[in-house]
Amino acid sequence: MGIKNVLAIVLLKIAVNRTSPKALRERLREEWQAYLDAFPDGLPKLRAAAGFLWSTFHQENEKIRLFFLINAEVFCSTLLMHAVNKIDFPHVWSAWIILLGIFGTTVLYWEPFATTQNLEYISDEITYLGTSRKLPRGIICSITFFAVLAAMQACAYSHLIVQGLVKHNVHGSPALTIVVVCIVFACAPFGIYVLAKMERCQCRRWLKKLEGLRVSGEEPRYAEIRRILKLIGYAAVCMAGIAQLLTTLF
Amino acid sequence: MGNRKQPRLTLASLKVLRVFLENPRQQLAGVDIQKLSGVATGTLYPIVLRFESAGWLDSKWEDIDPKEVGRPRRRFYWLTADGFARANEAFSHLSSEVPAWA
Repeated sequence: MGIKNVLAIVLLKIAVNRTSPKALRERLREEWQAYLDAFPDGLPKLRAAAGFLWSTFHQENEKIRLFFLINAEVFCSTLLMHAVNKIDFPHVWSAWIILLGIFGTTVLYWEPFATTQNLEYISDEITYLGTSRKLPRGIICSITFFAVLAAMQACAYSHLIVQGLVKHNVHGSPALTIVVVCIVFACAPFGIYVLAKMERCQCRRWLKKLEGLRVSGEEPRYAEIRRILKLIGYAAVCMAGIAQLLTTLF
Repeated sequence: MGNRKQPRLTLASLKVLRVFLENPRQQLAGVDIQKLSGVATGTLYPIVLRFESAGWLDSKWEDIDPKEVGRPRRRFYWLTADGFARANEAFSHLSSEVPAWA
């Protein structure tokens, strides 16, 4: 088997795994494999496989993915700018709150136009989060990232505290201050962990409800997914509003 | 049926529809549609799946045992009665708007 054929199989697998709803994957795996077999080995097969991958970018849920990608990009860039001391933390915090508000309003705006494919995609996500025993890879990565960042900052601050005490010849133990510093910096990764756990619990509840509605047909299930989307949208907007108010006050 | 979202009719989707209108009794596999319409693979499948979810096309697996034949089953598509009517309507509308298309 040539390298082009191996590459074609790899592309086919990626394309199938990118397809949603998940229920369609089994069908497309076999169907696309049969389609590929109709092409001669080498470049034609590779071109057809690349076509499948391209076709997954035409799916409606790409818009949702793009939206999340932009949000993640803004989130990371503000964090990076804070890390290199280009902006201070209150501004980073404000940027995140605005991001949360935009997320909420976009969900509320998008919900009435969501197609059945979009709703199936949301249903797949709820099923994945509700049934998985482990936390999603993205969450584990962000917890690790924030934990490393927090450890580095806690070490740097502790070093500064000890240095300050020595410099000013202050007697006494800085242990309590260092513990407080460590706790403060551990808030971000711990907060993400708790939020991810809460999200999983909530998804389990939603999944139970959606599974119960499956017997009543597709329409009540889609109506429930739309209700969940509205709930997420309103919750995000309210949380952003409250956080913004607290930031302004304190 | 009334709740189903109607598919967008682009040039590529019209090419796909024309293949089915020209072969109304035939059940076509993806590769046949691609060869007859000239639409690229990457564009073809989203169109076919959209038409299917809108109820214009129907599909079924090839009636073989993959283990026996040693190859995966193909999926065949054909126009439904509703799809046939809607496709004809779309083409007649297009012909009246753009005479060169007729």
